[in-house]
Amino acid sequence: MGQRVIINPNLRITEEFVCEAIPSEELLLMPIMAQYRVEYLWKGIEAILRRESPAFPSKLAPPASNEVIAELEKSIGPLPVELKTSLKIHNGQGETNWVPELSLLPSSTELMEKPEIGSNHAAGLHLIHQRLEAGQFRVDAWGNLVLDPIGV
Amino acid sequence: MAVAPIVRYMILCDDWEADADHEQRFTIHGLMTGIRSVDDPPYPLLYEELRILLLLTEGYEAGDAQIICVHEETDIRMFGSPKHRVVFSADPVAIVSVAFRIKDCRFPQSGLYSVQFWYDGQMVAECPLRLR
Repeated sequence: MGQRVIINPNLRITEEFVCEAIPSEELLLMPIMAQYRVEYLWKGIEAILRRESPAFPSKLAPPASNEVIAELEKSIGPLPVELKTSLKIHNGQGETNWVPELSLLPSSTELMEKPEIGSNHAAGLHLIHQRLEAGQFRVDAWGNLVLDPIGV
Repeated sequence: MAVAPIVRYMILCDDWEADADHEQRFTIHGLMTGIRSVDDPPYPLLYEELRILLLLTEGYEAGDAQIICVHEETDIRMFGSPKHRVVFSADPVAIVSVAFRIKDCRFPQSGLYSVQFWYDGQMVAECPLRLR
């Protein structure tokens, strides 16, 4: 939500709205915006995770370094922009295992072993985002967030 | 249908300053009609903050104000602001100044865009913005 600030009390009603641009669906679907689409999806995912379990996002795997990504590309070939962007945000789900289908959120190590699981990462990330927005997750007895498996 | 206010001015600029000595007087800095990308590659362009100043009058009670940016050639909405509530005073001829600072605006390509002011679901004013 935008922040509302009265900028000059001398004026009769002067209001200033500070906000972040909300991208349209059409903009997010444009191929040239692939990197932005992934960044935007992750921003949305992390916001929901933080709301439900404040410490949770920090438990996700840290970003993959450029060296790790270069090594991966040397081994399995060039990565799609979406997957590369995603790995630079979180290199997989770390120890959280909150997404039951590992192929939706693979790490560089998992990709090295099974390159095919990264073939449709953008769609997978979109699915995770959708399921979070639809409330298809639970918080377990230890306060960990677990996404419902597909079809539940 | 809601009664939309009259837009006396819709200004895209770098910044503005309210004059403390004269009510309803603004100094405009960097009035703009376009943006030239200096990035390499130039697009998609991330524009740090788009600033729009609106001076409205003849508004009635309150309504939801929003900025929407449309790519003219394709008529596709690119991005927008959230809706913000604007409250008018009882004096219908009073000027209400409303400013939007929209951060992280993404332009996928060069061309002509339309920055539109929407009020309670209707487009009330627009400003062309050329991206080069």
